[in-house]
Amino acid sequence: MLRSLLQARWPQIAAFTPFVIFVAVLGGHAVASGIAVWVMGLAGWIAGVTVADLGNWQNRTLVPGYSSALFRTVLVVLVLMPLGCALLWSVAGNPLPPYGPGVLAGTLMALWFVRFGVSRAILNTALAAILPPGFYLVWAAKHGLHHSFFETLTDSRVQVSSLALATLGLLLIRHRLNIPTLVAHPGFDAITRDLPRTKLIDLVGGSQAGFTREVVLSVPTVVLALLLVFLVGITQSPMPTIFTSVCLAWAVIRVLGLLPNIHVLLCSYWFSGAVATRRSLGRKCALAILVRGLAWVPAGLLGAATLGSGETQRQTQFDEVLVVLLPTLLAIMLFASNLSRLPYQPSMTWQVVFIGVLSGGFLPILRYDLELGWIGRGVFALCLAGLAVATWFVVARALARAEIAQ
Amino acid sequence: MDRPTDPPAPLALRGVSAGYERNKKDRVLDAVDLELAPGTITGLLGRNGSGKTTLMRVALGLMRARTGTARLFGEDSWDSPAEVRKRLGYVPQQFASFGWMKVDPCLAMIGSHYEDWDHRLVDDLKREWQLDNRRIAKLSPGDQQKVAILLAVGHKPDLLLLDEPAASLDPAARRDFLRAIVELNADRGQTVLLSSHITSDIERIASHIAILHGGRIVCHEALDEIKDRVGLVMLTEPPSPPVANVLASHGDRYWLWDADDCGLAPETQIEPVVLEDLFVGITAR
Repeated sequence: MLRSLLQARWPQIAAFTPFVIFVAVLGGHAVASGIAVWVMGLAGWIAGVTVADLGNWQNRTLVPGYSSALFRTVLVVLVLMPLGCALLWSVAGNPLPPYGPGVLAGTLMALWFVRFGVSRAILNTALAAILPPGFYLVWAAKHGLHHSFFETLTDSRVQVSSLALATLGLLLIRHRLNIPTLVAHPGFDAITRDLPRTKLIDLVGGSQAGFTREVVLSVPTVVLALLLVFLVGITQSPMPTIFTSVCLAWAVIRVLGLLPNIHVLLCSYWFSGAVATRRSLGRKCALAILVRGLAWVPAGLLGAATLGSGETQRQTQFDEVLVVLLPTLLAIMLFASNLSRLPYQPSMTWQVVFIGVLSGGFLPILRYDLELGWIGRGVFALCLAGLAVATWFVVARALARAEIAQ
Repeated sequence: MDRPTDPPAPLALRGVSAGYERNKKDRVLDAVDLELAPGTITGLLGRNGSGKTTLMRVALGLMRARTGTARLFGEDSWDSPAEVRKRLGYVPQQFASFGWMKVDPCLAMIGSHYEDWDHRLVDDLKREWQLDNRRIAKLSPGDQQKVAILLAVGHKPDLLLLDEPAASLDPAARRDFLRAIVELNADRGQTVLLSSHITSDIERIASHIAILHGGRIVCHEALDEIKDRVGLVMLTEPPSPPVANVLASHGDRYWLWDADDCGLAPETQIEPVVLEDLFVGITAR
């Protein structure tokens, strides 16, 4: 019964597991400080890039409710998930977190990309929403102004007015997503084709042939990750931040880089007759977009947890929790993004076994301290995560080949 | 005794209009009529932006017609059942595939979606085209297009829609590709709609041509017949009605001559027309 349930519902499970884990374990901490606003800006950045790029698919009319599926992802990432965190945090007797400003920051960032496209990702990201609030928040935290800033953000008037503005922003995003040609400005393809060869691109992407979405999108991601390390490293323990940044960069590169595949898959499903009706194609599409959107969430939210952790005393516990949870979350993230990546999925049983072995076998080693010290544990966790990634790809490829051979 | 009915046309468009903007007056296609007879190879010609890709997308059910009907093997293309869709092959103008995959796994993966995937045909073409088993993202645009073509023909579709498929192929690969299309057509009576700006390619393999101009199909007939009917003439002075009504400007001195009994002097020398002249002449009228 369990097996049949897993087989029937694996995409949903994959999509929501990271969300549930985050809300249950880390979510409260993530929204517990003013820095959560910044983190929500990051979430909005990724959500905006995702829907802006997916929304430009020329065959979007093939799938009924395509715009709704995109918008649902925005809602889940920017509204529902923070709401779950905020509620948990409040129910536990803590002060109301800055939910409204957080949603507003994310919404504005997403709207920016949906309106102007992803062609100026570095500039947009750096100038529009990340650097100014980021520097301010770190500066405020460093000089002891963080508390008053947090109080300002959680003021009920600020909360209500920012929520009203965020609603307006969400309506505008919805409106933009309904326009057949989403972005009027030169699109991403043109940018990737015409982009002059620069040293930065060379470093990241290699030859001219490497001018792909992955490369262009990964540049701001890596820059952001380094920025995170630099900024947060000043005030907090850098170890989990480095790890988080690596996870975030990895997730964004992998997940956003695979955007075109979803459309190839949908077209393949449609023309090969693998789906009977447009309605079922629409359901597959909506789920794939949601999985795609949520796949990066664990890494992004680990960042949120790290940044939102504030007090030093709690930081120690936090690091511990992070190190314990990282391999699990990484495995789940791999799991979720691979669901949408591999058109020939290994069977559910194999995937569950793999993650089970990883979680059940490795986690106790980390949980019950090997007296490696923080740096040692971080390095150890990194090695494990790398091993997890490598093993996953080897296993997935082998299983997929075996299934093709059948 | 019931009279046997003809099988439905592989593709039949009736009064199809379509566009991209919300403004319904903006129409890329405007009352397009086009019916492909089974087993024909039809070359679809049109200027840039004339709506060739849109026509194919409507035909495939990737886009809904605002008015009119688009039918595939007698079924509405927008709601075509899986059995009909399996009979289609499509090569889009811009190939998008799994760039991270190598060629062979990609072919195997797409092939696994079809029950009657022809591994031999695909392997033969792959060998002829000297397609290496490398990551698709690392292939040249021409080689990527070859992969797209293999993906479209591997299940031996009954209706093959090719949207400028050979534009990025080198001459040798283009020749191989055209030969493969002709062989498929000869072996299985496959119906082909081939959009291209390379008129020599269409001239080489097409049995029919369709010219899309101003959002409509302005010419659709057998290539041999239209070549018999049409020629180029050189006039020393501008024609007067009714001759002018059947002529179209083509450069400074040449005029497209159309139809019998047009009133030209008997001694007028008529030159055979090539498809490029025909296209330019018709779209200039």
